[in-house]
Amino acid sequence: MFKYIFILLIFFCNALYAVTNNEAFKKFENQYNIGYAFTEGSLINGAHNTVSYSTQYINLELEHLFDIGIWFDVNFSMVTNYAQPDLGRLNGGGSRLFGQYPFMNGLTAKVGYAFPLLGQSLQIIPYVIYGRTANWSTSTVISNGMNSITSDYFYTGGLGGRLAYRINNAIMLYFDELYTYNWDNSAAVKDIQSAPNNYGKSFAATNYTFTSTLGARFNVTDNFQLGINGYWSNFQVQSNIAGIMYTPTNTFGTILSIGLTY
Amino acid sequence: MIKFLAFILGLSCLAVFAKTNSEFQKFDNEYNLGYSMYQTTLTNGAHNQNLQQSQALQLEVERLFDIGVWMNVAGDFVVSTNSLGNKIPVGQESSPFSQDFNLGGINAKVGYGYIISKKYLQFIPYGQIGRNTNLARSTVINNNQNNITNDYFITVGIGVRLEYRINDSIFVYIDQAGNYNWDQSGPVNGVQPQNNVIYTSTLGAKFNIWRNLQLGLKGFYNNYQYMAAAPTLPYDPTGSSIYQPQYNIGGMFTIGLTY
Repeated sequence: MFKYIFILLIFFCNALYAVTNNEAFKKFENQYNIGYAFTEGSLINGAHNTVSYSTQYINLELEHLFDIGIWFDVNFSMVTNYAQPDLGRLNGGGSRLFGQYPFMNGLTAKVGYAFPLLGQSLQIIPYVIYGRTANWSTSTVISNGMNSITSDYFYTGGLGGRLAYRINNAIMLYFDELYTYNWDNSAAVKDIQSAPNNYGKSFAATNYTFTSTLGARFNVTDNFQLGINGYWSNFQVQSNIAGIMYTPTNTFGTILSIGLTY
Repeated sequence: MIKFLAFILGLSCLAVFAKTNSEFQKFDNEYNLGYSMYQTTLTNGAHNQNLQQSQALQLEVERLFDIGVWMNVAGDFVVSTNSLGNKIPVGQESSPFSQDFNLGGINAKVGYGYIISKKYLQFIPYGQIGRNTNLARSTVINNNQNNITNDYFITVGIGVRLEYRINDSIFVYIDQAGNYNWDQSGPVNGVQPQNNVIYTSTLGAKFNIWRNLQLGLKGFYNNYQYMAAAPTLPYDPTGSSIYQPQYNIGGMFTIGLTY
């Protein structure tokens, strides 16, 4: 019984602490924005050949920090431009639909708890992420027998941490480190995994992704916020790539955003 | 100087007038996550008909400013379609797409909220702009299955919304929009039947059920009008023109927060 009361007391104190310390951060983190991103990255195959690819995408972000310290951040994204060299039919070359970058659209949500560290200046947010992201690699689509494209997607789950540093009422910096597991749900790849002789290669749609982000926000006027961030993502495929199939490896990107606080 | 003062006075009157929208702000200052289901009816030149059912996810942000300016931004993508639309014959090549070209997009509406009845009725004329996919099977194939990020519409249009606030908890609205989908994918066999006008009718309700929690429900109807006759593909063994969506009807459930 005492343990139960003690736990409740801790939660209560924590909530009270958060209420009294979140206000300055809420001015930055209660916001939504629309952003445009530019990325450059590398694709690699089993023979360790690498080529470059680039994307541009639109991002709609919605973020909220509650009085009690709970924080969430929801992102919708859609690729608007993609470019890679002709890497042969399997990899999206020779007039084959896509490329080998699979994440053509997606919706992800991060939910965490914000701990103020230095009063109104520093905040740390451990969080979990969950989402649904497209897996529209050409290799996946082909392997899927060209079945309905909406069946080609990942469930994205993972863990992350964000450290936010509020310089003053107008500028906030943050660093975000995220680890995600992209669990492929396209039936084809499961089929390919049981029939590895297709193209003589193993398919590696399921992957881990490590993403490091450094960003800044600027409260230009009362409700008007500009943002910029740069990020680096490293993809680790779950199974071995044994040949000509390319998968993303390192990607660098930046997002410029314009939004409103509330 | 007098002109300047008159301008300032006009702005201030406008702000005072619009400030009366606080009752509507309790419903319109919100964001939500939505899930929709809809059925699309497709026909070809031989008047054959086919149906396709789809489901989609949406993230929506809405705001009604004190000065009366209203905006609504939504991003959505289709998460499921049945195979019926996928089986429509348009040629000998296989494709992961159906003839329903809309697999997602992002759209923004910006308008002005006129209070007709202080607590109950608001009228919002608005303009809309967006980017939506044109991933019809015929489009993708006829564009030689090249980079699909080139297959999209620029969507521009106008609309009106009439909102009726029943009480602090319930709010209903009707929305009528007309949009022009300007195809950016390039020609299909020399013609561009993908350019189309889409008329969207929406009837919805919002429920502020507890503190900042808001639930929403809406039904919608889309009607497509094409700017050119649908082409017959040269390698189509049926000799019929391609299937095109004619209309769809569906519903969306949302869960969100007001702010």
